[in-house]
Amino acid sequence: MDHFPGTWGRVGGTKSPNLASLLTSPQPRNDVYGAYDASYLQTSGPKAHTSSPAVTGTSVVGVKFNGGVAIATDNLASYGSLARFSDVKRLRSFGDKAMVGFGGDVSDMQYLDRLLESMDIKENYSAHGNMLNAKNLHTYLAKVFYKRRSEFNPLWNHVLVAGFDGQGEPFLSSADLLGTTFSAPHLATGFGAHLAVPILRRKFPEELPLEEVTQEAAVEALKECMKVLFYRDARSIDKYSIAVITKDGIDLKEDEQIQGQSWAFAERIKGYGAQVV
Amino acid sequence: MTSLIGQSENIGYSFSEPTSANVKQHSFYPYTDNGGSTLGITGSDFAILAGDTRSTSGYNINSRMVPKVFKIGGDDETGDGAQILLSVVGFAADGNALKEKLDTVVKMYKYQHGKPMSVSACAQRLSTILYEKRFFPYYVHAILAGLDEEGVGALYSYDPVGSYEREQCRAAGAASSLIMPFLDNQVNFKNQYVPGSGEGHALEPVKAEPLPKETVKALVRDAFTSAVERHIEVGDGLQLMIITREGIEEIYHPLKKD
Amino acid sequence: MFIARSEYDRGINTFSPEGRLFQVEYSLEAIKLGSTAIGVATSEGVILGVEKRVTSTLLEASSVEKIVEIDQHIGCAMSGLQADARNLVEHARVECQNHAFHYAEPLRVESTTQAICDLALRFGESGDDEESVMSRPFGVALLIAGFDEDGPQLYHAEPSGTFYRYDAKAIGSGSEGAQAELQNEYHRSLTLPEAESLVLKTLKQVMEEKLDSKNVQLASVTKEKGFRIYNDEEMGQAVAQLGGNQ
Repeated sequence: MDHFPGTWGRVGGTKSPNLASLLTSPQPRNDVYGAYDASYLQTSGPKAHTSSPAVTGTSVVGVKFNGGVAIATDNLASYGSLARFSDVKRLRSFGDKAMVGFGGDVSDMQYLDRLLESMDIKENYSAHGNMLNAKNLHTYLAKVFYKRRSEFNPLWNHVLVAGFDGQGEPFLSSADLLGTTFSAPHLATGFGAHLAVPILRRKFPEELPLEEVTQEAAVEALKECMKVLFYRDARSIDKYSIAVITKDGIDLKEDEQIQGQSWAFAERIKGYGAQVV
Repeated sequence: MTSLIGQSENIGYSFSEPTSANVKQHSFYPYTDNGGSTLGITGSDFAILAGDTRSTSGYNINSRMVPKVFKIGGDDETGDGAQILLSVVGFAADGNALKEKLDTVVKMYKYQHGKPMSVSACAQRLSTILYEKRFFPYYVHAILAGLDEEGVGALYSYDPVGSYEREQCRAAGAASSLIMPFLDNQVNFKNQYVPGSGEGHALEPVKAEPLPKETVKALVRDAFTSAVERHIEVGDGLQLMIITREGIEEIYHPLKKD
Repeated sequence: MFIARSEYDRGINTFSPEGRLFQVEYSLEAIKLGSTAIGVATSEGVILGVEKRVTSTLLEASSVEKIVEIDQHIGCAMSGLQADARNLVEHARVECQNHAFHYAEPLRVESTTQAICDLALRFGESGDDEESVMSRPFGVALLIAGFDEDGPQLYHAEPSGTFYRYDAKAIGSGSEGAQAELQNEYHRSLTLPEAESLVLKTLKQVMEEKLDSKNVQLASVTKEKGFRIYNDEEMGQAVAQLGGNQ
């Protein structure tokens, strides 16, 4: 590599440059791709807003139980189909009683995390400390999303907010890049909406009162969901984070491994891709 | 196979790929449809607004309990003291923004003018609120309900940019095309004729009259149970709000969850 | 008064150590120099009357406009700097039209008065992103007469931004004498014609010139006709009636 951005990432010419020439002039490497198109480095022109996400996180899964909420994401950040970063924390805490699970664009997640961090610090200067609960946080995030989508400059995320509402009841709610919001006893974003929700619905039917859902059952269910998602979501990884929010605070584990994998089922799958028999 | 070598765009997938590298036009679309349906019917001394509680994204059910009918101008959280109802169906985020805006406008009105806002005034204000965003509209079909100055049920229906009219009944949203003809027949007695009142097509139409409350409640339930059968975006629960001189009554009925 | 002038005169919004805003108080003085205006509210409607001070025979009396319409159901009489009143009236008219546009109903009389007083108080230095405001208080007081769902009403609005509702009120140079007269003569069962002659009679007492149909102006607000300024014929009749009574 040299110090001339115009030549970075371009296949070299026939002769390899020596150190002296690297320091004095850019190496012309036009034999493969043609002349360098400098228009890509322009800083003028119309302001471009996000029109698609770049580095992304996949599903977020959450479930309410008697006395709290459990929420999980895997630790992968993908760049398209490339598994780019395999140790990314997509569960972020707000104060000591609320968590946000982020799906979608990772840089937008980091922006929102900074926003929430500064809000938490500001709130902590007040006489009573940070009194904002998960419900307040969800309302705020939804308004940020809605404002940005209305400016045609969206924050490309789909988040779950977990914690407690103003009455101290377990709270789990969703907000996305358009500002759409909804709430349910169990929720999942992205692929999880297809794969995890049916599992959670079978384990915790709607008729079942929240009092009968134990913390252990909720956590077990999330682990099960993460495993199924790892099996079937190509943009997932077997390392995940899981948080349990109760009155006692947040129990966050950020380096979990999917246990008890069995790929035996894969042997029996036929008829995909090139394999037809 | 040799022809593939050297062509940077065409890698040998077993399935077909577009060979010409078209410039991808990917722009952000700020709307989505969250499905669901709403319905309003008035009587001589009441108005009913109803909506299902399902929220959808494409073929996904987001949640089975997302209300579409709101009290406007009442206390926070409980909505006590409200005298106006609003239903919104379409893009739920816009619906929420619209509801919150109208709610603050109605509250501010009471502070500034020392009287509760009439439904007719609120109806005009809702129209201007919608029209203010004529070129980036609130993507919702709104229905406003209350009692007019004489205590008669009042219902106003809107298009997304603020055109509105007062009506006896209106269905909006995903299953509106299923429900509205039913309402035409059962509320406004369209295509109903007095038996034996004339020869051939010279029959006398049945005169439409305001229906009693219990009849209307039954009509609303029937309309939704039928819509659930034929529309995938409608279901889960039915939220009913009935406004009378005595106040607002709220009823919930389960609907099929399939 | 003028002996008390001090550095507290300079800042528009600077309180004196005694807790007074001198410029606001001076603006109230400006009204005392203005022509007399009177309003009387009855259960049937409100009558407004002003003296026009036709200072020259060469002056076209009809060009002296001291009673103006704000909306179909509201009008006002003024005393003080007329040009300042134009600003306030323009503001009130816009507020009324805006309200009618947004709510399909007329703006209430009290809300109209409040809107005028909101503007009246917008003087002094403006902030960075604020729109520019008046550099001094308005030098005019208004009698606002209107009819809404609460019936006929009369309000008095001052440059200080305060307003009160009155049964009968006089402002301007002759206000002291006129108000005393109104105090004696007003009663709740007054009819509209009686209010009309009370206004004229009171004006006559405090005017320097001899009252005739050219140097006074009357207007009424009723449920049926809304706000109306009397035309020449009606003024002639009203003044003739007054002569007959006395």
